[in-house]
Parts: sequence; structure tokens; C-alpha cells
Amino acid sequence: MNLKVTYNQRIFLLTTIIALVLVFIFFPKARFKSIYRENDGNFFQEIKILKDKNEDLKKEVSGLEESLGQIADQDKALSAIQDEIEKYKKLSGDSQIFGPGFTLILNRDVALSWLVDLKNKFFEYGAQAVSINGIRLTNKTSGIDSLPKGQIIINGSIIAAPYEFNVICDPEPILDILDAPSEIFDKLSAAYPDLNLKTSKKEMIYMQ
Amino acid sequence: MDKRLIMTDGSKKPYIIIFLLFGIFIGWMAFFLLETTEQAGVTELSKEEIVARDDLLKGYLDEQAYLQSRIVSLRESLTEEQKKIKTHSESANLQILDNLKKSIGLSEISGKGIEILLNDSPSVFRDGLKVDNEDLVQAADLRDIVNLLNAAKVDGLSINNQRIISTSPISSVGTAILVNNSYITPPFYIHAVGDIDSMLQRLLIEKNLASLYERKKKSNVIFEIAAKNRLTIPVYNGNLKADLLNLVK
Repeated sequence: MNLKVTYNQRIFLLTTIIALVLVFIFFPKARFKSIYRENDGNFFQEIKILKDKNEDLKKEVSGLEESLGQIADQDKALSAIQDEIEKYKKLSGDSQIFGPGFTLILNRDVALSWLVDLKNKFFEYGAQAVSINGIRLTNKTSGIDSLPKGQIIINGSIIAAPYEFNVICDPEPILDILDAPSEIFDKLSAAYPDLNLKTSKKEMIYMQ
Repeated sequence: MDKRLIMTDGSKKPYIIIFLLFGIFIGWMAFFLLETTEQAGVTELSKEEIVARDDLLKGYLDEQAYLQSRIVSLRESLTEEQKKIKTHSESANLQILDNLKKSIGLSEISGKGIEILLNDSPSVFRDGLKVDNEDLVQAADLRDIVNLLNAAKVDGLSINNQRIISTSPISSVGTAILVNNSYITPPFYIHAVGDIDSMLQRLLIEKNLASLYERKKKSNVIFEIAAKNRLTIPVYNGNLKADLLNLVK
């Protein structure tokens, strides 16, 4: 068997190496793009976001008009106030709540900014309540802080990996978006190749 | 005799150059493809198309502004009507309602706090730039600052008069920044009412906002913090979804 490398093979090898070197010179740029924290956008996406937002606002206006109509009627006033109290109790974080949704588990430590971005994405795509390692994120507790040694702290409690997010929402549309290429799960996996990111839909999630 | 490209020693040199050029060409093509992918979605539009696009956006934004002001007005009317109810049991409920409104951002807040100004580098114009341009303020900068302020237990905060609550998303579509899914444009003013020392303690640690401090030095992105004796944070003017939430009774 002749293992001698011919001159032609050497030249081909050389050209391949040059090509690869050139690709790798520019590789950091490509890699940086894939884990960049913001998404590229397009006009249709802008219009869809605005359209959906306006639809939500119209529903809110209808609900408020209905409440205003009820409050004018003495018989219905008390029930309108009770309904409003109940709605705000669910949002305030002062009462225990439950609902459908999904759980996300990250098996290793990630930078604090990824936790902030994950929380942000969940709410952007329609989550109604989110908790991290059992701590519900409300107006009083939504800041994710870090200590000098790098520990992550929420509302005075240190949390550590594995991070478990509980999200109350309609899980299917949100998970479809989050799982899409270039979305946050994709970016997280690119930033931490050894990260095990596990989601599971839940019929019922309880939050304190 | 080798029947491939190189026949004799005398003819090797031209082939070396050809193969080297070929290798450079492959590398350049790879780079070009990356660049093209990055640019995908950015297409040349005619003036008429730009005007039509802006008109369509403006239509939605005008509708959004109207709906947001209608929500604020309806909530005010509702509160006024509720105040007219005099019976004792309902007064107690109104107190509970009032406290809940404060806790979820449906009450205006005033007091001491800080004002943060963030703006793009003076040398750039946001439209048409890539989302990762280092001269621009990014949605991630706003998210990081809001997170630090929330960690400092602020009483209330807003960005360009959009009240930020725990469910407020801060995102971007290309270079456009959305807060509560509403467009905001630079300069960005973040107002936060609360303990000034606690806020400054976090904001002045460069490690907490590493990217922003770096771009402030390198690209002249504007990032200024000022303590204020009195700031007013407006009420939240968006929708509040709770249809999937159930109270444990």
C-alpha cells in the first residue's frame, strides 16, 4: 500500500487549511451573532406585535367599560368591586395562585443576565406569572441581584442551579416561539454547550 | 507518470498560486455568506414603500396611544365612581382595592429618586443600523438597569413615561425598542422613585453593567445618572391579563 502523499494532495491540503483558517478568522463574528441578546427584526414582526398589543388594549378597554357600567348600578357595584379585587389579588403576589403552564429547568449556573432575559421573554410572549426556584416574581420581588462572590439572590434568598422556572401561561404557543431557531433557548444553548435545558408542560402550577 | 494536474516539476509553481487563490476564494465566500445572512431581511425600499410602511406603523401607534389614554381615563373614572360608594363594608373593600392598585402599579407615585439618561452615540442615526451596533443603546441595557433598580426595591419606575411593572417586557425588533410592547425612541429617560443610595450602590458598580460602561467609554453612548428631589411615576397604562390565574381559596 502506497502511503506517500502526492504533491497534488499536499497542495489540496494546503488550500483547505487556508480556507479553514479564513473561516475561523471570521468565526467569532458568527458566534457572537448567534448569542447576541437581541433579536433581528423585520417589518412584519413589528406590525404583528403592534396589532396584538392593540387587540389586548381593546379587550382591556371593553373590560373597564363593563366595570364602569356595573358600578353605576348600585346592585352590581359591590360585585364589580369584588371582581376587581380578585383580579388584582391574583396579580399582586399576595395570594397563592394556580394555573396551567410549563416548567423550565436549567441544570447549571448561567450568567444573571440570562435569567433576566428569560423572565423578560416569558412575559413578552404572554406569561401571566413566573417564579424562579419557588420565588414568584412580582413588583416587590422582580429584581434579580448578585452578591460579590457571584451568588444570585432574589428577594433576600440565595438561589443556585438547577434553576427551575415555573410559568403560568398558555404553554403551547409560548414554547413554540421559545424553541424556534435564534430564540432565547437556542442562544442559551449556544452560550453554554453543556447546558441541559428541559421544558415540560403542566396542567397545574401552584405559586405562593 | 502522475496523470493529474501536475505533470512536471517545471509546471508546479502556477498551480500552487491557483490553489492558494482557490483557498482564499473559499474562505472569502464563507465570510461573504455570513455577511449576507446577517443582512437578510434588510432590503432596499423605494421612497413610496417607506412612506407606506411608516403610514401603516403610524396608524397602529396612533391607535395604541388612543387606547392607552382611554385605559387611564377609564381607570380614573372607575376609581372616582368607587369613591362615591359610602357604605362601611364597601369602604373597607375600597381600601383593599386601593392598596392592591398601589402594589401592582395602578397608582401614581411621587418622591425622591434618580433619573437615568441613556442615549445613542451622537454620531449615529438609529434607522438602518444593525441591531448589534455598539453605538446604540440596546433593549438589554434597559433590562439590566431595570433589574438592578428592582433589586434595589424601588417604589416605582418608568421608561419614557411608560410605567414598568413586574410583567413589563422590554424587547427589541431590530433597532426599535419596545417597552410594554409600545415603541419608545431615544433619548431614554428612566425614572425611579425609592432609596437613592441603594440604587446608586448597584448602578455605580461597573461590573453590573459591564457592556454599557464599556460602550460609554469606547463608543460615546450616553449614560448619565442624576439624583432628583421629586419625580413622578405615571400609572401603568397597559392591559393586565389574569384569565389563566386562579386564586387558591
